[in-house]
Amino acid sequence: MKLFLRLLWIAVRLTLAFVLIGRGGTFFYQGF
Amino acid sequence: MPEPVDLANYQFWSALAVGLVVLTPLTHPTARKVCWTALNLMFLAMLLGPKVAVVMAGLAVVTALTRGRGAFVVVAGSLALFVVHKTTPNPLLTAIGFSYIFLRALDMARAVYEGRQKAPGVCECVNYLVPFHMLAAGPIQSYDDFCRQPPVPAAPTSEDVLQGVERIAHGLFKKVILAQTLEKLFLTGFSGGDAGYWLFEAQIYYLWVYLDFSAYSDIAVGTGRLLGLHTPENFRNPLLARDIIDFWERWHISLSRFIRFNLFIPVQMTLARRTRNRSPLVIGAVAYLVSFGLCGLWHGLDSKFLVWGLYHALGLIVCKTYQDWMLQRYGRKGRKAYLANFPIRVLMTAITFEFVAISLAIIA
Repeated sequence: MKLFLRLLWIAVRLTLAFVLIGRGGTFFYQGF
Repeated sequence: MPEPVDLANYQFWSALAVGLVVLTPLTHPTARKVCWTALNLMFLAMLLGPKVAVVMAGLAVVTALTRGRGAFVVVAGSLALFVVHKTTPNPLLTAIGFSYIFLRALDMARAVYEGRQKAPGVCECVNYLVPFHMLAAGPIQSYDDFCRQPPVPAAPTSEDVLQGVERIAHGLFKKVILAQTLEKLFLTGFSGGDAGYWLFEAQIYYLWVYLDFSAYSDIAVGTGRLLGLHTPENFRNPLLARDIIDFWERWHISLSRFIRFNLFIPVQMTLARRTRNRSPLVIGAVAYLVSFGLCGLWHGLDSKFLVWGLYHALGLIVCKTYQDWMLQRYGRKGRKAYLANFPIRVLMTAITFEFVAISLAIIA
């Protein structure tokens, strides 16, 4: 159960992140 | 125009996929090292074009051929490029995060010059200076740490893989969901109006910088874990730092380590020898001012960043003086009991948070 929840939380975060990236979010730190 | 390391594009993820397929099964040390070099050069070629990859390979060959003497060439060349990078913004140098490469080059040159490590070969040069997963925003791995890695890591367990993927997911979530939401909702570039909002924005800005910056480190550490490449931790809950000394042990840890070993300790030791260590507190203060002044200038060659560095140096000097005074007055046990007091801890953490938030607002 613990492993399932861990995998689910990973999947949720990855999905959300890539959906937002796909909608035009960028990932560049205007750094150094 | 070269593209920056943008994780919304395909290059980073392609390099990670190729690395997983090619590097993971390799158990021969030389084959693994050569493939890792090819992967890093391939990433440079995808990002900036094949010419840049060829130039990087050429520089690595020259450094390898000149053996130990190449250390001076590396230092002089990277210093010149660093000044160019900071004075006339160059899209190519910005794209590869040259400031980080500069510090790696210095660390490598010093380790070789002092005889702690052998002169690097072509593969060591490329793999240490331009590792694809640490290009965007570090961490700044030390050359000693890089050389200590086993040539072939232990086969990854399912837990290693899970932790690697989890770390990448954590980084992406922090950057794309949390940091970007904060940015869109609250950040105005400190042009939002009254002093109250300025102060509020300073808090959010600190939070945003932490989420954004540490997200890159999470992704680099996760990628390193998946590929069996040691990648140092860069953050350890810095928002909970109880004083500014503690803050620098939790924030951008790899830069703190670089400053401590390559600036602070050498300056402190030199001054202590020359003055026969007559006033350690003054020596420490000068070492803080020099090392954090230079740290500020590393971030940007202008007065704003110099002020930021000196502001942190002054904070560190006050903090160190206060710690020494506490120790003299209350002894070790008394100081420990004082620090363990919960309200005191909360107050110190809040003061440290504000100190850092204001410093970031200065350079925003």
